[in-house]
Amino acid sequence: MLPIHALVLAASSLQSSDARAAPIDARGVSVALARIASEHPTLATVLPVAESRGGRKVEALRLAAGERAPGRPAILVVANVEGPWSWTTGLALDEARELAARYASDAGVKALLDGTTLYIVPCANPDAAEARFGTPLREERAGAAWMDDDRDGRAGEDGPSDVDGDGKILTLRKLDPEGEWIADPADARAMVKADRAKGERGQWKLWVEGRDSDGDEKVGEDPSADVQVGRNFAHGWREHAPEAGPWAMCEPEARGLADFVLAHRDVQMVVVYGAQDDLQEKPRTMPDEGGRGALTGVPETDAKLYVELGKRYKDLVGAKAKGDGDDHGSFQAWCRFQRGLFTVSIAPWSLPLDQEAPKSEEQHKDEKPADERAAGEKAAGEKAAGDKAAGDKSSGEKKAEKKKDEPSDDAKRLRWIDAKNESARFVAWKAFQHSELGAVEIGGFAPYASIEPPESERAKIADDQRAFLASLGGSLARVHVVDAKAKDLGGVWEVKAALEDAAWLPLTTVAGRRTGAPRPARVTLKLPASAKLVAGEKQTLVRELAGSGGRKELEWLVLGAAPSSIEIELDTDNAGAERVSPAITK
Amino acid sequence: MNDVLTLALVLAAAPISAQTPARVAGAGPGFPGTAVGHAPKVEIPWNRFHDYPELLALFDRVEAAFPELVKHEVIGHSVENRELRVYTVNDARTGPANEKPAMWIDGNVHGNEVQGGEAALYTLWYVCENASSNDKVAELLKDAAFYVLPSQNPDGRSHWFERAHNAHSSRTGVMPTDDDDDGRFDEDPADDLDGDGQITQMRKFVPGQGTHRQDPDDPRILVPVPPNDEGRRGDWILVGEEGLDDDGDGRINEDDPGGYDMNRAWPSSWAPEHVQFGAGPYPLYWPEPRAIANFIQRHSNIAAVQSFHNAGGMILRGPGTESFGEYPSEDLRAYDELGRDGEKMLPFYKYMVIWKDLYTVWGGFVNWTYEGLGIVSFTNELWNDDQYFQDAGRAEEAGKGAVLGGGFDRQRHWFDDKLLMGAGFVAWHAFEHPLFGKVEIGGYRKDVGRVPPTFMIEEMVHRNAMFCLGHARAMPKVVFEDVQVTELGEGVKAVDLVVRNLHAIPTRTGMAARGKVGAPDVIAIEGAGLTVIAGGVRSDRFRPERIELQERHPERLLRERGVGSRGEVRVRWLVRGKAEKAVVTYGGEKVRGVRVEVRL
Repeated sequence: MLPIHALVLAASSLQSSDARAAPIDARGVSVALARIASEHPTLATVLPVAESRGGRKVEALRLAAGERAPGRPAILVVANVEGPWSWTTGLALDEARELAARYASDAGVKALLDGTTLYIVPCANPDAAEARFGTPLREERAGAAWMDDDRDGRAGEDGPSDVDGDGKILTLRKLDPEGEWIADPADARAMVKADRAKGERGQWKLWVEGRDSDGDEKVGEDPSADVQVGRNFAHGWREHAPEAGPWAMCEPEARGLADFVLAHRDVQMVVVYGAQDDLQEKPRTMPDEGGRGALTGVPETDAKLYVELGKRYKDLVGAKAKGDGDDHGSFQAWCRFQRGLFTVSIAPWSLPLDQEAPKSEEQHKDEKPADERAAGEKAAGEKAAGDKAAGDKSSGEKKAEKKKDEPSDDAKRLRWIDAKNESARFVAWKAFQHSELGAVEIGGFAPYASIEPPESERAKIADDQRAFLASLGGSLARVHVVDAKAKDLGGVWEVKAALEDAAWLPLTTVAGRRTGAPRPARVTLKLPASAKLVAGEKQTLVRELAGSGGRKELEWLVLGAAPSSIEIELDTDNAGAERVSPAITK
Repeated sequence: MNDVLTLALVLAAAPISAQTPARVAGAGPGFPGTAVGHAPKVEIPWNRFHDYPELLALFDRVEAAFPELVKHEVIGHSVENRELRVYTVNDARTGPANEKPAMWIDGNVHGNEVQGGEAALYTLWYVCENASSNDKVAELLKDAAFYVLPSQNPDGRSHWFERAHNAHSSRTGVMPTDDDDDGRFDEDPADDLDGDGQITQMRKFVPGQGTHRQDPDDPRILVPVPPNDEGRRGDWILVGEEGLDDDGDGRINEDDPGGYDMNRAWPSSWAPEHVQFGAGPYPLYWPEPRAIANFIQRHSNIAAVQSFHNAGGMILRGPGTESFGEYPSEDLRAYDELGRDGEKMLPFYKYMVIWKDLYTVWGGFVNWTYEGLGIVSFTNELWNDDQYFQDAGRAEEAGKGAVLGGGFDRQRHWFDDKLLMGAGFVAWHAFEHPLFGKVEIGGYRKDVGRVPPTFMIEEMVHRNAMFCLGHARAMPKVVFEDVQVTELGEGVKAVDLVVRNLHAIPTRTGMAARGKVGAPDVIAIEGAGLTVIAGGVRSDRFRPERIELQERHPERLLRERGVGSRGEVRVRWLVRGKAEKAVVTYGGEKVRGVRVEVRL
């Protein structure tokens, strides 16, 4: 068996600066951002976002060439809000570094940074991310302690721990008449929930690896950290859920990121790397109109844009990673459904589920079910079943729904692991004498096994993702005053113009209009003091302007001003600003 | 052989010092409340409202006069850097404040709803003045503490006092907000065109072309012209509140300071701005509610909440939204008892459910303190129009003779003319407006309508303070009763006792239990050499074997639901060992330090 550390070591911040899309810790991010800013002082600036409870910095790198004129649109790129996706932190850093480096030589990058501002926040959840670099190795989404999860009057007293001292938090399983799990018939290493309706009787209990520190015969049920930054945002926030925290935005990283969005009204699009994905499948939708309530899905009209962007993404990147569709309390949900921003979640990689079954799988199938062997002693290293997500309800429920004879997702993951020789990602079940639970087995998926792509794929992923990101600049809404004309009606000038958005995205999404959060485009007719507005509005607020050539016609009658002294002023937060004088026409 | 020991009603609190503070010369029990022969230690004029510095100065005077009872701390600052102060009232001789159930009282989250500040002050002052002279108050202070925040919104209060406003304006805080979506902040406020410190109404005379006409007997009153194709049209139009188009966008007064609602900012059932006006971009966005939430979150001993507002004469409880569903029935027993008492203590006030009887509120303060934290909480809406005449018949008489639609205005003018000598009304006077031309400006002052006239303030704050004390006295109080030790044989003894909550509010509300808020209560037994074999809650008072055993750690029985409203829990432990005595304790976030020694 390969040591799991082979997977881990590439992550050290000390050697990360040249590694592409490798996990990197918060200190490494700070150093890397500072280096980019010092190497490209005219392009890159580091901005503070937040400081975590653990005293770690959350920072943004602003990349922008030339004058940052009012109305210049921006894309906010955020990675690893969830915590365990530290490799996407490396990915976002790689994008920042490569874009800055290529500005001088790459026409596409130059066009992007000349007209668009990028804010890149490589690590939004540094405290949870730290688990990626610590011992024992474990996946961690939570940062702060809050609840007494097991209601025993003590908070955080029984968290995961490395009981066998192998440096990793894996899964414990124990034969137990009250167990709910069985070995997957398709691959006995994988564990699935027994389906009583099918006559399956559970045999194993599963827990995250840990002690029963409080003697309640539960393991790891009251971890020292509950509150997840990635579940702490104000949309779909679940009151009284341990991961949600005492209130939405109570975590400094969540509030810092939200305040960053509120302060940077030039942001028109948000791209988030991590567990969720909006580009592989059509997002959850709702009708464009109807009701005053909170948005519960992407309005149909907006969904078409996401689907189209998904096509472009697949054409360019060819990725088929599977995202986690649960967005309650997420940063993305808040951006999209409360700030009305066009928000794209990207899961750049997930452990493939479509690996063809090799003939050798029959071998696993034919193995005796684990329970039949369990009575006897097991030799170390014996092939056994496992589940990387013991205690993870959602994954368990999903498995329970699997069709008969279809392998579980974990069995499918094992196919890929076997085929790609990525054996460090699964630790064979091994007997262990647990001080509180007695005879158990420890094993299962290694931490980060389902999250991090193989090192050999990372450079390509980084190049593809950067290309996609760079392509987004040209998609952003850019509003202009067009066809500005003045016609002499005899003493009175008829002034006409149109606002037009020739780019792909609309000025505001339907979600944006429903939330009312994005500021509308404002058109002001500027006249010399001597002139008089005879008809029309001095100021017009335009809330709706479709992309791909959407227009809004405007008209005024003006007395006592030469057209050259009249200006039509457009001002927006994030889609352009300009002043145009009408041309005289007949 | 049975060796039964019975201890009758063992009270929980720590022993009380024999010494009581010296009485104030001239003051006797019962002031305020009884009027003759008493003087308070701190004289406060209960016939006016105080701006924020004055209000804090009055709190400080009480603190200075009762240093053994009152201490304040600064818990945060407002947008304009005013201090948010919490005054803690506690008799430290009977334990620190954070070890007693405590009541939180605040007021004035809406800057214009100023009397909440005075009601909070009165409550604190009343408690202090009576702490040593009134037995019931002394008893209350033995069991309970108070945290009093004079104003949730000191900026809004200050703006309302210091600047031109009307009864309804300065509700918001003052963080600049772009109300009209034009990218500029607070650039078109109301304008005090006549410089009288009031924002009143503008009306314009448009003979034969108007929507309103004057009441023929009272030209101060405009009444709408009824829809009528045949008759004469009105001579007047109303053109809004005093103001100008400051930003030249064609609209008047559309972006005044602030523009949000700090009583829509709280985490429970919070909804974004497009669902709930004033909510802000996320819960607790502004520094004031965030500081308050942090304080309350840290003080898990808070077991009662009152947040004073105006107006309408209401004793409000949640839910704020229909979709929340109803509150747990065990908590409603306490709510209903207090609310119905309140209706009798507060004439012209009604006990109401926010969404059902008033309107939907997402993210209200008392919704958070109850739904989020499980604390029985009320919002009283102080002052009610019915209190002007205190009798519907008298009010109707005062409005008699009004032309259609003007009855209410007639009544108000009658009251203002006869009881305030007309001081509440700014007489209509001419003004040359840059857009509307010649107009008239006039109307009621800002301190008319939502706050009582001077001579009715004291009654308002006293009745509301007493409602608070009733609420505080309903906070849980736990005692042990019927402690018995029974020899079962084989060296095994049974320890039985009844845990009783004497008061209306559960030690842990149903809401707290449902939301797993904080920590469960714990009933514990310990003694040197004592082995606890089993323990649990008895479900049958006559059959001791009917017992819900706690599987692990029976010496520490966990009660997620605590002890209910005036409820009891019967506990039994089976013990063995050489111990001669054991100590039984009841501990929880709202109940601390209840203990009894049991002879085995």
